[in-house]
Amino acid sequence: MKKLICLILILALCLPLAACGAKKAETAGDASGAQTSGTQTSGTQSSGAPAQGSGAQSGASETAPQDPEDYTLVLGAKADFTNEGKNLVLDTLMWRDNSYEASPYIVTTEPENNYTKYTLKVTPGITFSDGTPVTAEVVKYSIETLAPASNLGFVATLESMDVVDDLTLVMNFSAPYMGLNYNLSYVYCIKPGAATAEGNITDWTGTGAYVLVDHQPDTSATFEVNESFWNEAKKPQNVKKVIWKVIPEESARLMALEKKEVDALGPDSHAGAGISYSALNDLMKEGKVEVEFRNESGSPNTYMYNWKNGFLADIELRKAVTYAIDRQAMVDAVTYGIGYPMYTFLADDAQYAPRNGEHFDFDPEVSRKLLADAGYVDTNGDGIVEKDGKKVVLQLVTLSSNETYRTIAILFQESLAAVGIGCEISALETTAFRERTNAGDFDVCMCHPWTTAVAYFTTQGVAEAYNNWGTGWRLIPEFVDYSERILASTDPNEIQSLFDKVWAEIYADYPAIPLFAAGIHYLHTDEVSGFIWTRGTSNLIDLSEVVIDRG
Amino acid sequence: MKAVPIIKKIIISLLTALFVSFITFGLLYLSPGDPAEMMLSNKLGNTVLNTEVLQKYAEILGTNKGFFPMYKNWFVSVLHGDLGTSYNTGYPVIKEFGLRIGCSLRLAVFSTLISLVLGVGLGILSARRRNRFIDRATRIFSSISISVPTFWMAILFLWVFAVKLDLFPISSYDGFKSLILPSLVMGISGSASLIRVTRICVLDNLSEGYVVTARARGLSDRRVFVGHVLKNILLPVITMVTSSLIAHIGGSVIIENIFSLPGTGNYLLRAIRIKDYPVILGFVLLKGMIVIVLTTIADILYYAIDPRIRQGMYEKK
Repeated sequence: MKKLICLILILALCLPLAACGAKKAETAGDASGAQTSGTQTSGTQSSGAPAQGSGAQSGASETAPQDPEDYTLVLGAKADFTNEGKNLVLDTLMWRDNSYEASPYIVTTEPENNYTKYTLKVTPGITFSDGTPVTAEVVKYSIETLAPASNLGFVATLESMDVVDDLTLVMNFSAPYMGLNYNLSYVYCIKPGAATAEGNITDWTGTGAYVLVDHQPDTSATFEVNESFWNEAKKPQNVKKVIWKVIPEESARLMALEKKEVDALGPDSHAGAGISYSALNDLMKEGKVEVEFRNESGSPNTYMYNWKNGFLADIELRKAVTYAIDRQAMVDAVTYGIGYPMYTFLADDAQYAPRNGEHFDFDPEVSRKLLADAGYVDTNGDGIVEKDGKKVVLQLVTLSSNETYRTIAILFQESLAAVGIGCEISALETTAFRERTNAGDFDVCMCHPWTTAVAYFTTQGVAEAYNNWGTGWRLIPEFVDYSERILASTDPNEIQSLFDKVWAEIYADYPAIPLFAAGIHYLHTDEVSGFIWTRGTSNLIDLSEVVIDRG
Repeated sequence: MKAVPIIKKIIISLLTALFVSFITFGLLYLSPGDPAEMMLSNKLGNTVLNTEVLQKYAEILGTNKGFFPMYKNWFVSVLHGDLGTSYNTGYPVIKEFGLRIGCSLRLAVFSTLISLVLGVGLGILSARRRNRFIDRATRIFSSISISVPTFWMAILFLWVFAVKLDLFPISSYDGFKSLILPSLVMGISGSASLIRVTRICVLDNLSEGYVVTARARGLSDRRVFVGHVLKNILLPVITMVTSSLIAHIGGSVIIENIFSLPGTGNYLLRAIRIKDYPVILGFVLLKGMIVIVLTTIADILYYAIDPRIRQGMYEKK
C-alpha cells in the first residue's frame, strides 16, 4: 500500500516535470483564429540579443534575406498587446494626426443635414491580411461592435446605419453630432465575427502593418510584416518582425533593456515607458540607454477644484490656493529636475493654446493678501485660517497607486500650509478614488490633464456632472455652444476665436490648477532609432521609420 | 482503506466550494465599483466615461441585473459545465484558466520541492548537529529567509543571475529554465518555516522513549532515525507542504510580476480589480477543486503513514 502511494506520488511529480520540457501552452491566438504560420514562434530571448524567432516559418516572410536580428524589433511592454498594441495589426477607421485631429483613413466622412447624417465612403482596395476586402458591411460591423466599448459619445444618438453599396455606409443620428470623425479614430476595423458582443476582439486578422503570428496571452506576441499592407506611406521599411514581450515589473523591464533583451520601452502605452523619475534620472546620467521624450510641450499634472460645493465654491479661496502652490518644488522633488513648472493647462505652442497671456502665478504673498481680503483669518494662532467660524481644511483626494501622486499631494499640502490653509490628503485605491470624485466628496482632486484643446474641451468642457476625474469643466452654459461650433468649424481662425473665449473664462474662474509637466518618456537601446513619437498618435504605434543597427 | 469517507469529504468540499463562490459573488457585488465602469476604464485608460455609453455597456455585459438574477445565471451555466466568458478578454473562463494554471502548477511544484528538500534536509541536519556550527548556520539561514521580503529577493536574484551572470533570461516563459529562478526564490522563502518545524519535530522525537528503547535494543543510530523518527515527523511536514502547495497554486502575484510569468495570481488580481465576475467566480471554483484534490491526497498520505489514524477509523466503525 505504502509502495503504491509512493509510486503514485512520484508519477504525479514527474508529470509537471515532463510537461515543463514540452512546448509552451497552447495560445489563445491560435484558437481564436489569429493569423498563424502554423508553427510556434519562440518568444524566448537569447541573452544579449533580441529574438531569433527560432523555428519560425512565416507565410508572411518566407525568405529572410538577412539575419533576423537585423529586422526584428523587441518591445518591452507593461501589458499584453491587446491592451494598447492593437494598431500593430488593426487600423482605425480614421487617423488621428499630430494635433489629435481626425483625418480620412479607412473611411472618409461627409456630414449632411446639420450633422444628423453622415455618409461614410470606404477607401477602395483595402483588404485584411487574409485577403478579405474591407467593405461597408465590415465598417458597419466594426462600429456596431466596438463603439459601445470604446466610450464613444455618438452611440447614444445613433439611430441607424444603412449599407448603400459595397463602399458606402450612411449613419443617421437623432441629434446633431459633430465629433464623429474624432470618435471614428478610436474604432478599429475588424472582420465580421471577430469580436464578442462585449466588444472583445478574439480574431486579430487586420488591415494593419503587421500580422499576428503567435500570441501567448500576458507573455508575448510575435508579429510579422503584412506584405499586403495598403498604406504605402506607413509601411515598415526595416522592421519586418516585432516581438512584444510582457514585463509587468518596472525593474525587470529596465534590466531587460540594459541587457538588450528588449530594444525599447514605451511604445506600448500612451503613458510611455512609465519609469519612475528617480530611475529615469539615473538612466539619463548613466547614459546606458537612450531616453527620448514624446513631446516637448507636455500636458501638466493637474488638480481639479470642487468649484461647485464646499470651501472652493468661493472663487477668492480658489485664487488664493492657486497662488500658493510652489510648482518648482514639485519639479525638483518629484521629477529630479526632469520636468518643468506649468502655469497653463496647455503648453504655449500647443494648438489653440491661450494666446492672450492667460496663465496662473506662484506668489505666496498675493495668496495671503487674497485670503485676508476675503475674510480668511487665523484667529486662534493655530496656523490655519478660518472664516465664519470654520477652519479651512481642504480635502485632497489622490490616487495611491503611484508614489509620485502621493508626493505631489504632500508638496501641495506643504504649500498650502505655508499660507495658512489646511489640507488633509486621502490617497486612495482607484475604485475608492472614483467613488469620492463621482460623489463630489472632495475639495481638490487629481484631474486628467488636458490632452489637446479640441479633444479635451469638446468632451470635458461640456460636461457638468462630477465624474472619475473630479467635475466637468462647463463653467458657463455657453461652453456647449462653443463646443458645437468648434466641432463644426473647419476654419482655424474661427476655432481660435472660440478658444479665446474659453480660456478667458477658465483663467478668470480658477476651476483647476496646472502643476508641472515632464513629457512622456520612451527608452531604447543604441541599436534602434527612428521611433515616431507624436502627441496625436497616442495608442497608435508607428514603426514605419524605425532603423535597427546591431552594429 | 474505506472509500466512503473520502467520497463524503469530496462531496462536502464541492458544496463548500460552491458556497464560497456564493460568498465571493456577494462580496464582489457589494464592494465599491461598477463592473461596466471598471471594465471600460481598464480598456480605455481611466478616461472620463460617457454615462449613456456606460449604461449601454452594462446592458451588454448583463451587470445591470440584480444580485440574484446574476448569480442564478452563473450558477445555472456552471451546472451545464460552462463557467462563462471573461468580460475583459471575451475568452471562455476555462480556457483562461487552462492557459495559466500550468505555469502556476509548475511553479508551485518546483518551489515546494525546493522548500521540501531544503526545509526537511536542513531541519534534520540542524537537529542532528544540535548547537554545532551547522545548526547555528541553518537557523541563521532560516531567519534570513523568513525576514527578507520575497520581492526583494526576486529582484536580487534577477539582477545577479540574469543580468550580471547572464545565466537566465529576464523575461520569457519557455520551459524549465524560466522557472528556475522564481522557484528558487519561492522555495528558499518557503523553506524557512519548514526548517524550524522539522528541527523541532526531530528534536522532540529524539528525546522520546521509543528512541531510547530502540537504541537500547541495539539498533543503529541511522536505523532508528530512518526507520522510526523520520516517520513521526512526516505528518507535520505533509501538512506544511500541502498548505504551501495550495498557497503557491493560488498564484504568487509578486513572483509572477517580477519574473513575467503568466500565472493565475496576476491574472486573478487583475480580474478582481476590474470586477470580471465570470473569471473570479470560475477561478475560485476551479482552484477550490484543486485544493480538494490536494487535501484528499494529504488525507490519504496521513492514513497510509499513521496507523493510529487507520485504527481510529476502524474504531469508529
